[in-house]
Amino acid sequence: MNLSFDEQQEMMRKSIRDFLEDHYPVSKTRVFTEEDQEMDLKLWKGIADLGITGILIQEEYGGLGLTPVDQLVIQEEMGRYLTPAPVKVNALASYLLNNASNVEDYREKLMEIAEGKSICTIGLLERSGKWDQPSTNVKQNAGSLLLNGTKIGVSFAAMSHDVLVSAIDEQGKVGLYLVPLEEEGVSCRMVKTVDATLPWYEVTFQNVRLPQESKLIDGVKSLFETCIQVGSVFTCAESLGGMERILKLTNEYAKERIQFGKPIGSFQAIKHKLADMLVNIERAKALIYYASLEFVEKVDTAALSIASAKILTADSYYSVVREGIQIHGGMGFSWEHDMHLYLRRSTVNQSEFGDPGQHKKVMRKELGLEEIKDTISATIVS
Amino acid sequence: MELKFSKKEEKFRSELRSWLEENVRTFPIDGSSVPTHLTEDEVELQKNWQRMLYRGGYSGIHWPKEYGGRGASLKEQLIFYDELTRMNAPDITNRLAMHFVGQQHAGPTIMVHGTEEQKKKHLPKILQGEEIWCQGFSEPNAGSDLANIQTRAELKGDKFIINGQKTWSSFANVSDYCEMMVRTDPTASKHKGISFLLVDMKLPGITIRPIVQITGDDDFCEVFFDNVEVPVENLVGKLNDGWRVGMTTLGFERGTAFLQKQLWLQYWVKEAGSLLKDARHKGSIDEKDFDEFVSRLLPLYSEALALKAISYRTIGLMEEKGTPGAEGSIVKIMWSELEQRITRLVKDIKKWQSIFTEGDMGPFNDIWQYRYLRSYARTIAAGSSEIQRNIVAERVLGLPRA
Repeated sequence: MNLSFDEQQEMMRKSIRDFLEDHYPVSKTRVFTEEDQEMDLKLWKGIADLGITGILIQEEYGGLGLTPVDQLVIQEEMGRYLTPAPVKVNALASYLLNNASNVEDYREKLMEIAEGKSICTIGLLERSGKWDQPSTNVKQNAGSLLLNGTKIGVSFAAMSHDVLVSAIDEQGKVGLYLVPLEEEGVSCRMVKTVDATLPWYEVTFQNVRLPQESKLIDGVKSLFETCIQVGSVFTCAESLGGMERILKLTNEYAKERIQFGKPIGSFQAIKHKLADMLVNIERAKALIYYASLEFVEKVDTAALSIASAKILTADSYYSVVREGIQIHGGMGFSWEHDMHLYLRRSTVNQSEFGDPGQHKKVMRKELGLEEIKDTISATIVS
Repeated sequence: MELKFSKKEEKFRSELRSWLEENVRTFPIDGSSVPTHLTEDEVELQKNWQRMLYRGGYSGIHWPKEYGGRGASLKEQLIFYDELTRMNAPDITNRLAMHFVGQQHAGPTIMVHGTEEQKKKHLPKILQGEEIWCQGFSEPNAGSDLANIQTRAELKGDKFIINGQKTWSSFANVSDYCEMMVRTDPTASKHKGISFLLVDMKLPGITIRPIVQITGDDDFCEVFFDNVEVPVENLVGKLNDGWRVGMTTLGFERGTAFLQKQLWLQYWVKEAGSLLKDARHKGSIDEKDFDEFVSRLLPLYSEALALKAISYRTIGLMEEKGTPGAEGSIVKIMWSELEQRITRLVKDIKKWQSIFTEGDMGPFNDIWQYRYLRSYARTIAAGSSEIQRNIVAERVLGLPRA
């Protein structure tokens, strides 16, 4: 039992941080948001050169065969620097492909992802606002699959080669499908969001014809559920990195900013806010690690713990960014200060891979505290 | 990073589990028993559990063997707490609070700063449940400003002569010893003239006056010292270095002393969930109320789970670093404030039942009524939430003192 990263994981963190500090600090992300949001290929090449695009891919396919817990380190750094690159979705997609029963079908794809030559993104969110209930559908047609529907929160779609899409089949079962973005019938449009560091696209599938092996075959566990769960902990880790940077900036500011002849950080009102920021961060951190470990070690309460972590982290990020802006005073509300970039990201992270409402439903189910109408419908179904 | 415990640790867990299954069931009180007045029988009962643990080899899990402990790792200590809570066993955070200062303050402090004689004299007896301890830190004018203590100890020959008053001293009325911070050099600056003494509570010149608490408990005391003579060998650490020694004690308090409490809260939230389901089933709350209570309960569940996670994380970090650091204050803030919110939720779920005190369980209708009232002490005792936030801000975040 041990809930801290080991030396090797910390070394990986350091190499990522050094790279981002030198080549892509937040000031550069800012330029990205103010220009045309074209992904910097040099940035992606740098990320690939760090050897982190294949960490969740088994060694046989050119990866490192590590676990989502290792990926947390990377996502913390991505969230700290708000790095505008599809690291999270690409890693998640690689993990899902690698865990499909028909992984052999994706051998080539996985090798390309491991090398950083191919990027795969994820499409879950629809206009209904749901991440977990797709209306995008797939039908059998003349020996192949026909995909129809629209996803609205597909990050970095224009820079990606493929997208993993959640869709419902004719039996009413939800699954994941690998779709090349250049396939006929796929169209892609950028949608403006509150967070320009993370370009989102609307991707429409109109009678897209796919081979049968596009469907990821579940093992013991549903890959769609895995997608929501692992996506959630990765998002939490990003939030953690963001919160840590906010605290760092705010703590420095509180020590430098002089009012009434003293640093404002010497006033108890400010001290206690900063202390609470740290409490929020440490609490979320422990829970994120704990929940991720439960997932990796297949503990039966993992779904409950991940939902708990997602809710708690969303709330923590909100509080930390709120106090960060407040302590910075007028500076914190200015466009030129980084604080609003984190405020924007916190808004997206709260929702990505399921908003608190969705995760609360999971918690209610796992704790046996469902709404009456849910328990009745569950009884009718069974 | 991993959650799994080693084979050796799991073996310890399963042996402990069988021991607890056998012994918790037959013991007259458990983790949900409302504390009662400190009669002789009650004191004896509290000592008995500790004696049983000692005989079973489960007292002082992490304490060295030479002082009567088990000599096991901190992780095994954590497993011990985990299993006690799982079994709803009586422990130092509930009915057996009398053992708290000995096991969590005086013992660990003597282990770090005490002389060999002090260790041999006290540590085994604390573990056997035969020596009860209280704390003599706070004074009427030294609460949050602890370094302002005025109780004097004058060194005369081979004795300290103590004069002054201590307060908020839990279980002083049944204690054998008191761990004390006293002023030995009134000319030195505030933090420099303090020494740490072990004081026999049976000495002449000591007067104890109980203070009744919100809960009605009568274990809280004021203690008056009138020319009390304490032998010089009862000094812990160096003369006038008592602030540092005392801070070690408080470090334990903020670091590991409440580990068990931290784990308990998760069970409390689950119990709140069961009470909620019962109330819906019986019709004492309607569907709209039920949903409101659930939306209050879910974040508390997350926080309680986070507290368990942070406890696990702390143990891992402590195995690397040794004594707990100021980070313990973060955890103290978390658990004390969470406990208040959980007990308040249960009070609300129980509706009118939380008002009446006519029950079969002494002065309270049930344990939750007691827990609710008790929770108000949590953010004051062991360093108030405000002091904890100062500590976090100044020692962890490095913010300037006012």
